[in-house]
Amino acid sequence: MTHTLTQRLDMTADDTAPLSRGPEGDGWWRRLLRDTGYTLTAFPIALVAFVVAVVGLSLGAATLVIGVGFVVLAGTLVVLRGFAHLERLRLRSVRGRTSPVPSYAVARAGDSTVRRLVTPLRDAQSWLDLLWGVLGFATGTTAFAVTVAWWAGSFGGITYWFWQRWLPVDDGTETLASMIGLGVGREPEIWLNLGLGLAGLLLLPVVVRLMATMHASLSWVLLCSRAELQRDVRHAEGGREAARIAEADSLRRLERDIHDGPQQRLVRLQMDLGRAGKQLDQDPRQAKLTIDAAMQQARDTVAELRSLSRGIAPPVLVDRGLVAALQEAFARAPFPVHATIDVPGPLPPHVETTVYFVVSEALTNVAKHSGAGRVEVGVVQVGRRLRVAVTDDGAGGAQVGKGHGLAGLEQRVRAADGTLEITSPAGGPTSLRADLACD
Amino acid sequence: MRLVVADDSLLLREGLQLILSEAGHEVVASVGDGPSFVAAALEHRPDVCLVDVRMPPSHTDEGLRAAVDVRRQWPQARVLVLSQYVEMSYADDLLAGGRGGVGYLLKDRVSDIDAFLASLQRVADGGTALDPEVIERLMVRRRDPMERLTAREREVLGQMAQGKGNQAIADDLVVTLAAVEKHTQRIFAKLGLLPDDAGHRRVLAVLAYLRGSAPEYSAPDYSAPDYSPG
Repeated sequence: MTHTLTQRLDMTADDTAPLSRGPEGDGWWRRLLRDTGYTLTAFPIALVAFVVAVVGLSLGAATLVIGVGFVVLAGTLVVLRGFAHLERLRLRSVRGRTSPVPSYAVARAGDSTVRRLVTPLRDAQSWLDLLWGVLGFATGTTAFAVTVAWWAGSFGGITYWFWQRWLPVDDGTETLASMIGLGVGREPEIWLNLGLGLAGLLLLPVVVRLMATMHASLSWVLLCSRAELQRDVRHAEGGREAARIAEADSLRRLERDIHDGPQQRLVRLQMDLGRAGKQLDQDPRQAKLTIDAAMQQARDTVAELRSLSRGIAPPVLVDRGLVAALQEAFARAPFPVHATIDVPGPLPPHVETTVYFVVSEALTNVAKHSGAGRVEVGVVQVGRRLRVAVTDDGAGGAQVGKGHGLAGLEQRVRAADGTLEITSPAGGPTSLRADLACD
Repeated sequence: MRLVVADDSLLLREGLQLILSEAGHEVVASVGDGPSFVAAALEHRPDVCLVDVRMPPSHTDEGLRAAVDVRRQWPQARVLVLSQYVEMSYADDLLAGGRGGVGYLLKDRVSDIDAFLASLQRVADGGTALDPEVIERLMVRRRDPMERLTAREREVLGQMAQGKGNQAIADDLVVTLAAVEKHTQRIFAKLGLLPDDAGHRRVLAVLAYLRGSAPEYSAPDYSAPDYSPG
């Protein structure tokens, strides 16, 4: 059985591609039809939205003093929200991606009826929807008009030769062709119109795309951009939350470790010294034995404290930096480690600590579970990101479960605004990759 | 005397056992978690149970709850609770029944072996042994009335609150028994307490006074100098 375990912590979807790029893999004619559909429908929708927005806004503003205005405005905002949703759906045909929906203010459970009614008024996105209703009319109308004119001009031009025969012949007037010196009569006129029509047809996809993009950009900025902002904030908050949890966890673990370790030993040491004090009067030889045992207790306590402080931040990392600390960790490993470390400058302390623990925890895991004979470690800075990879040739099957230390590692990495990915099919090899922010 | 010792650290269990056996006491059972402590105490019916607060399975105040449990099933049980930390609420739980024969000491106190053995004896005799630090915290809260007492009187009050009898206080402060009696009378007069020499009742009276009213005590006091959350 082969199972692959992939952990991707970064939930950010790729949604930052340029706006003007249409849906992938479409032919130009299909995109042209989509864009045309989008711009042709933009006008009627924008018109209705505009009317609703302007009427609702002025009616609401006028009746604000008697209180009804609040409800009228709220109602207008809710209707505009419907238009905004429709526009977000339509945006998909231009942008080729589902449009993110910003979160709207929602009435809380304990709110009064009045407060409930006017909830949309307190919501920034609702007012952006209204603004779209007003501004979108301008871009929508322009996009519609230009698109219709361009289509008509292009097809009218290339079919001029056909329908010109029904035009009344009027030799007195100057035609376009005669004005620019192509000669008088129908013949040059036909050729000119054909040329212009062909040129227009050639430019048609570009022009329509431009018009669709213009209207779509406005819609996107007003209706969707806030969603991205909100998502970034949520992402940052998620990182902070993880950092808080990781910190609280490690403090609690530290408390437990101190309680179970050095503190117990010191209490025992006190007991033994108390006994020795009593024994000194009665049986000095016994007292000597007790003191010897107490000495051993003291030594063990120091050793335990030392290993505890290494768990917080290894002294060598504090004193000599990441590279020295990593080399120390490699030297401790019971297998050869092939390392590539390429970090040009000094890193922030929390990044160094995270990198150190990722590598040393990974090495500990490899030593404990995989039975690997060889491990490769890479710590490479690429721009503002730091890539850490630990790959072994062992048995694989690593799990992000409790007890393997990988879950804790995950939290540490997330706290440093990074992602941790572990692939470990049964039979190996196991590879652990962390991607961290350098600042 | 016969004892049951409960502590999840083998290291400390051994240490306690050595101290107790060198003092001529017998440890009849030595256990490492709450449920087996309750079982051992009820089975062996020792003169005193020595129990650590933090033990498995819960790793929280397991030992304390086990001690309360034992005293519910066997009201005559004498329990001395040892802890790494002074927590007022722990002492409360133990004293809640209003019966003597309980103690609450910091583990550090064990190293003063004579004092520890004396506390143990007091608990075995149905008295009370409260850690000086517990008493100190109570006295800090009642700063105003405490200022009416002289330094020596405060010292005597503290010793009384720990559960010591007049003779023990006299020995400890190196004064005569008569002097201690005079001090206690003056303390009771100044604080408006009824003089009562009957061992545990006196302790309870002093403690009740130090706590002030019950509701005031039940709320955590954030202004106390070394209050630490969690």
